[in-house]
Amino acid sequence: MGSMFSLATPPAPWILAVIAIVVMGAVLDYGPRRGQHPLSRSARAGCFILRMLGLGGVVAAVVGLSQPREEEKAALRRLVIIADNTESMSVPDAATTAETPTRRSTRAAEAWRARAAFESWREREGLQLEVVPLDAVTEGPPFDPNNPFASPTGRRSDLASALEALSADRSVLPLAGVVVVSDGLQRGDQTKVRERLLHAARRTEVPVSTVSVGGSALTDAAVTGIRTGDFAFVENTLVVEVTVDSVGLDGALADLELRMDTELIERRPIPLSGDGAPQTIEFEFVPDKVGQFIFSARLIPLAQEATPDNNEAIHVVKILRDRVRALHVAGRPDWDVRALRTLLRSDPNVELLSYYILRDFDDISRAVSNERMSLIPFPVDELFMEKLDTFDIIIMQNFDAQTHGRYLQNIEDFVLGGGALIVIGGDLGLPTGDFDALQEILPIRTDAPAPLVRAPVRPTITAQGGRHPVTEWLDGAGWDALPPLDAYNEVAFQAVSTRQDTKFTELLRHPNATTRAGEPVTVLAVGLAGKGRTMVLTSPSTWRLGFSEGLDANTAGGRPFDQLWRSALRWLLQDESEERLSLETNQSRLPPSAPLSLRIEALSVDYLPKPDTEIEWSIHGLDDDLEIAAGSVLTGPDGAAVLSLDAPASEGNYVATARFATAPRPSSASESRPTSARTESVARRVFRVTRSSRELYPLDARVGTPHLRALAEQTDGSWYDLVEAPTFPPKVPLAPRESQAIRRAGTTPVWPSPWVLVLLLFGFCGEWLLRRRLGAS
Amino acid sequence: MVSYGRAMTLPTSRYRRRTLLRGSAHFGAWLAAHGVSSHARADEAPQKSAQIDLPQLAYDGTWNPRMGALEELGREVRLRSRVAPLQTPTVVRPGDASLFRTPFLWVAGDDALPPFEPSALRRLRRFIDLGGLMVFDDASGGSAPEFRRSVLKLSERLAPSTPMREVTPEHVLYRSFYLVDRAYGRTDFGNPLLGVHDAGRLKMLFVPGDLGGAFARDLRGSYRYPCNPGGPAQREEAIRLGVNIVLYATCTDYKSDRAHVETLERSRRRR
Repeated sequence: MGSMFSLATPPAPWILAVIAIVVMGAVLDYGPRRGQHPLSRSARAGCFILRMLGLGGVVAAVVGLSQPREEEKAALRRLVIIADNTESMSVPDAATTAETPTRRSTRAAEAWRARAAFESWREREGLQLEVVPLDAVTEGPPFDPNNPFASPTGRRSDLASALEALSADRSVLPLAGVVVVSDGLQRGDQTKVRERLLHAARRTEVPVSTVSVGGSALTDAAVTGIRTGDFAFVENTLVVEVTVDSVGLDGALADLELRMDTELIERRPIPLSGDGAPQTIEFEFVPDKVGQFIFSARLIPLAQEATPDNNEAIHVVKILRDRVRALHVAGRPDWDVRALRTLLRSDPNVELLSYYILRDFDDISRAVSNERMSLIPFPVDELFMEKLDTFDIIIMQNFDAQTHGRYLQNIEDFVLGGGALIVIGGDLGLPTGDFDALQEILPIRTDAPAPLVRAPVRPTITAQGGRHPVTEWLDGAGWDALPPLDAYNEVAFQAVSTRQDTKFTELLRHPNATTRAGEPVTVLAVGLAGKGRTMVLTSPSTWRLGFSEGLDANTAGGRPFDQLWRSALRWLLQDESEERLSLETNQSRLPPSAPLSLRIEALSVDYLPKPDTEIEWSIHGLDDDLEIAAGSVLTGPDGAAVLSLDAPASEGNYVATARFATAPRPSSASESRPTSARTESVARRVFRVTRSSRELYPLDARVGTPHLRALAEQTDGSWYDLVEAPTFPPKVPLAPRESQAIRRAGTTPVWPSPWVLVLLLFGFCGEWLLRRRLGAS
Repeated sequence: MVSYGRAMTLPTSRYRRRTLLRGSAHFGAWLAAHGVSSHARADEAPQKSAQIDLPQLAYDGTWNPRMGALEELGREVRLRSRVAPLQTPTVVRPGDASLFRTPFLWVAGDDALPPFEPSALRRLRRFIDLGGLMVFDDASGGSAPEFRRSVLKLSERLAPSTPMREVTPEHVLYRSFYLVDRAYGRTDFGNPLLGVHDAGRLKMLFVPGDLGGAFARDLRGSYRYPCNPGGPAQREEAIRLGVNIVLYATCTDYKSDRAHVETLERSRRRR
């Protein structure tokens, strides 16, 4: 206990001074004196006491004397019942396999209804009962405290958070105890689950009693995980690991299916271990399409399973093109060749094949001997005839292509068929008009020689260049902050070619130089040609962008050289992220009718934002191809449009599609081709609508019950097992009452009491009357 | 060097090339089999070729003990390969911003390098971190240890986490153009090349046998210094090593590509 009285506020110094003066006056009046006092010693003592009593009344009124009211509050306490209303409570199980399984929620509800003894005890103890759900956010009917186990639809078993919420709640009646009615199951590392639970329970500072409702005899199998990378490569083996947990099904055979979207990849019979230990089943699969797909692993439900709702797991995988095969040929090694080679070699997604011309006729004629040289044949036929189609991109750097002129037609066919070509200038090739044979697919004028000019140049970014994926990173700061390039070929941009299926765009231009024909000199230009893409860089010195004193060598991808070339490669290889129409969904997995957001961004052929453009969108079921919703939307000034929809009400896999309204709809056959993701005017995203949650695994109560026992043991609570004794506990341990009173005590002010007035009047008036009676003045 | 000044007479030039290709199928196949371009080079016209600089570091002390060695190395590279070094390499000082004009730096000496200013050390460190290659040529040929010691000390300051160690015979440097089996120079004491290896490339290279001494010529065109003990054959090997260094600087590990390694292995077996 604390002191009997306390002050509402600390007394001000002047009050203390007045009190001291009054006490001093009383001492002077009635204390021992040298001279004779008119009153006797006993009379003086009585008057002194009466004055002090009066002074006490004044002080009590002035300083707000208060008295703790702990006894008044001690009787008001509460007992909290945490009722597990999550999905795992709907699972039937039993104490033994010989018994008929009963749903855990049914078991708990029956015990709850038969809690008369508990209620009697509670009333005797004066406990206020508070029943709260384990998961307050459920999709079923609202939680009913009077019937707390009626609707086990919660998706989040987080008992630790529920306990932490109790310990944080200080604004209500003191907590006397907690009762948890649950199966104790929670996802995650069970050791960490236990630690967090105990920590949260101890913070409540009250006994936590637990009531286990899960039986140890369960019959169920669940797909608890499907694991593979978020990305995979087309035509490369993809390994998908599926984890299956099963209990009570020892030796049973179940069929496990792996699907990509709706396409069945493999169905495999799995002998279930049935002992609760996870089984990992590996599937190997070679995807033949690029794009985003839902991989689902589903265990065909067995008749005796407790629930079929945990038999499927999904994973969304983006299938990318294979490692890019790049052919890098250079007519003469130099610093630019070195820089580009270093970049390509450092990219794990690039398989680089290099051939550099290290010497020519004159060198050979001067050579003493070839015997100890490290030179290999340049396999011209093999590269440019037999294996050309195995490459994704060909880089001709300062390359005298006319030497191999008979192969240039092959290279044009390669590009028109979907390949990529980069031509980099220098003193070879472009100055001698070697690329004239490729004039229909290159975005430069090749009908005149383009001599190499050695003069510094800081290129100007064109309007299209500011928006194009290859050079948009330059927009804003421009080239001013970058080192100048050393040289350029005097060549002009070619806006159109004789082919109808080409589209050329100039990205960088010399600020003032012109060709001999008076046309502006281009530095970087790109082109769409048939199904492929081309790029011509007329400067052989972009290595300067990666080797300059002001550059940070360790900036991740930050060197301008890296940015330029990585952007160029992504665009040339038609990376899906570089397409002109993009579509993103806010989630790849969501419940039925949940908010679904689609964001569509459109760019023009010139890579400028495409405002006021009509985009057709639709949502189809992947399983049945039925159209769920469709419409059109106009893009805003930034070329973007955001659609706020509701997800389909039915569970299943769906695909959202967006396409330019003016673009012809591709046929279903073309959509299913491996190259469908490389089309420029259609974007698609897949998503899954599902009610089932991860709450349904683990399901074996033998995992959760030990947690509940430990909770009770560590907090001085009691543990009850409804499976063994199907009645609600008649009473549970509570926190000691006193400790609660002290902790929760408030104060009652004393000074407004009439007794203070009585004391005041009694003191001062009594002194006055006594003095009068004894004849003192 | 290689001239394509005939660009203005392109039709004639093309005609000649095409005639050559069409009329000499076997010869063309032979050319392809020997890894060459069929472009016939005319007279050297350096202003028309893509040239690279091979600058040399000037410092307080004997920074150029083998006068003209680097010009000679450039000439040999031009004569033997398609790489086109400048006829007159530039000279840079360690504190100059011009250090970053070329990712190659030749440092020669026969005595200890002087202590560099902190700002110069920062520049040199940035130089090699961005991809530059510093080649140190010990003009003493191994007879005096001062230069070697100072280079090792400098490497500890520039690349403290990657100590200089031997460039083993398996390194691509020994086959970047010629097949060279060890570190030849004016001298041949059998000392190995040393290098600072980082992320698959050499940042610094120490050549122990006075490579510049094997190249350097006097005004009459004669070699200034005899090569011991191997004489002209040793000089030729030293020149080949020098060519390899320049080719490595421009092509990095090109010759370690799988296609090259497999082809070389096949040709060795045939021999």
